[in-house]
Amino acid sequence: MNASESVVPTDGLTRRRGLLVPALILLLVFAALPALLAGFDKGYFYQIANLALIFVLLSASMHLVTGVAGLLHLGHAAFYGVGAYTAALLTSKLGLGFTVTLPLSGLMAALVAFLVALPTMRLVSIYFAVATLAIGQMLYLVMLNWVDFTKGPNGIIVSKGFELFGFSLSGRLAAYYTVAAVVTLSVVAIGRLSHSYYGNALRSIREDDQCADAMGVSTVRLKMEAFTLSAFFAGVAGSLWAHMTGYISPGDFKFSESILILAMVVVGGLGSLPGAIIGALLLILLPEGLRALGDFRNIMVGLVMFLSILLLPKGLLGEVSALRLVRRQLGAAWRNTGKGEGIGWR
Amino acid sequence: MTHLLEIRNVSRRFGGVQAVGDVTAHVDEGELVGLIGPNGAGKTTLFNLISGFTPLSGGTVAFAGRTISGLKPNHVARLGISRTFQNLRVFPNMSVFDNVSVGAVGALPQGAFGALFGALHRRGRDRSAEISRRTWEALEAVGLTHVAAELAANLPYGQRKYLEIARALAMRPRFLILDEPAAGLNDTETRDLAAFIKRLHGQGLTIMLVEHDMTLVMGICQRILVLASGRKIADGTPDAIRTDAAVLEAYLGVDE
Repeated sequence: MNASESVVPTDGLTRRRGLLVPALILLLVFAALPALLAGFDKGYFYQIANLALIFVLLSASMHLVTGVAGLLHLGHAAFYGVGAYTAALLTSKLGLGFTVTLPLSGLMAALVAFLVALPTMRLVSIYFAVATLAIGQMLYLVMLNWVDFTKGPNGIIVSKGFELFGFSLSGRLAAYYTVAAVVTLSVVAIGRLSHSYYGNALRSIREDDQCADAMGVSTVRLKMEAFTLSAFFAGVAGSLWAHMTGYISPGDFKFSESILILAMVVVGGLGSLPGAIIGALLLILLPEGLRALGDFRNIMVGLVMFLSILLLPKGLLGEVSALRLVRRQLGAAWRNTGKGEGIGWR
Repeated sequence: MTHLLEIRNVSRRFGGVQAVGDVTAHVDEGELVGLIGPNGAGKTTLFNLISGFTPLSGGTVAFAGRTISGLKPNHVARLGISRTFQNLRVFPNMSVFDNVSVGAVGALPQGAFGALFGALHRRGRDRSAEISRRTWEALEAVGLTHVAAELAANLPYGQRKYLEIARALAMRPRFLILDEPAAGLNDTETRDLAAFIKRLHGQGLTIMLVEHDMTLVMGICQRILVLASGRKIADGTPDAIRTDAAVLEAYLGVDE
């Protein structure tokens, strides 16, 4: 570091630490974990790994709207469902493959979110929460009762696995890599939104939306964007789920799933992207790890959630520590060089 | 000649209460204007009418030759009117740096697209650099760089006041409205604040100041508007206001 730069003396925030942690995470997700999975060679383990990754994406996308923008969203699973049904219907009715359904699922979920957001975005706090609850229930009931189109409670068989421009990726390991790649890219995109000046504007809306308004922040527009983008990523997760399991039904997207995703975000730490990821991993992997306990495991999971909120109300990795970690690791340190380079968020 | 801010026959009713009635006033570029009046005189309501927080019941507000009545607060803010709040509204769970950056973000074009792809092209990187430059500048102006990483909620009251001003300055406003900045400060702190406001004014910023503290307003303002019961009862230099019969009756007479 150049000695002539004026460096703000803050607790360790001033030094760039390189990209060690992101590199380790990528190594784990794309090398160590697949090697382990291939070593065990059990289809069941692949399923769990994929499911955990899909819920990481759901939790990360909800983090954007609930953690960062502060909108209590109780219908997230419905947009996940819109994505999954879009993928399933495009596959079964039009014979389209994953390469096409993936973006379309995201776009369809985003479109639905945009349309329902138009009238609801001016609602605040608990009223917004109830509106999203109603939207989630309506979408769920459409999936359940529009039998001609969605096959209702019978669900839809998705005959095609993953593929990329016609190349089949339906082998166990290829499917894992597909899910991992899509989830990683999406989480990076969500990270760019929440760990940037854009994220600061969203946080200011959460903290005090009137005051944010007075600072020139277009509160309604930014809330719409956050809500729509979060639905886009939920839709992407839906497409992954549809092609991964090969069968979807409305039960996968009911209210309790929205609450599960909300619990992941809260247990991990509201406003913290690493926290949302940890929360998702915990609440998916813990019940699987406790399978030996039989029915008792759900009580254990509930107890873990209860205790974590009681002891760590700000989450396992709260927003403040998470932002410090991210700023340090991604090199967005707070150097005041006066030249406008490498300071603050990028 | 057009004034920077022009308020024409502005009024606002809340139910049966006339909070502001038929007020006409103006502020010129480079002025430091005080707005005083007894409790409930409609000072804060007038501020809210200017900044778009409260819709007008009648009249118009124009800024830099452009009608701004009816615009949303964020639109008014982007035109160059920046404000602080009477009851101190910082973003408590954000760091000092992030608090101030919101002002800079708000003043510049914003959107998810820029955030997603900003790092990929030069204009996006320049905007981020511009935001951090403005943020540091504002922090330096109020002397809070040493606590940039602290959570706003952890700052003492006096520093939070300056934080709010820094956030408003990061917008690079043409016109700054300060709503009771000295409320809750002791004498020394008020004197420091007065010197600070004078310095800002000296750098060419147009400022309007609502204040209860008469010595502060009389000491630094060039011109003073007096409201009582929602009406403008006087408009003049501090010396003229001090001896104005209507003002003495409505305000000073009761207060002293």
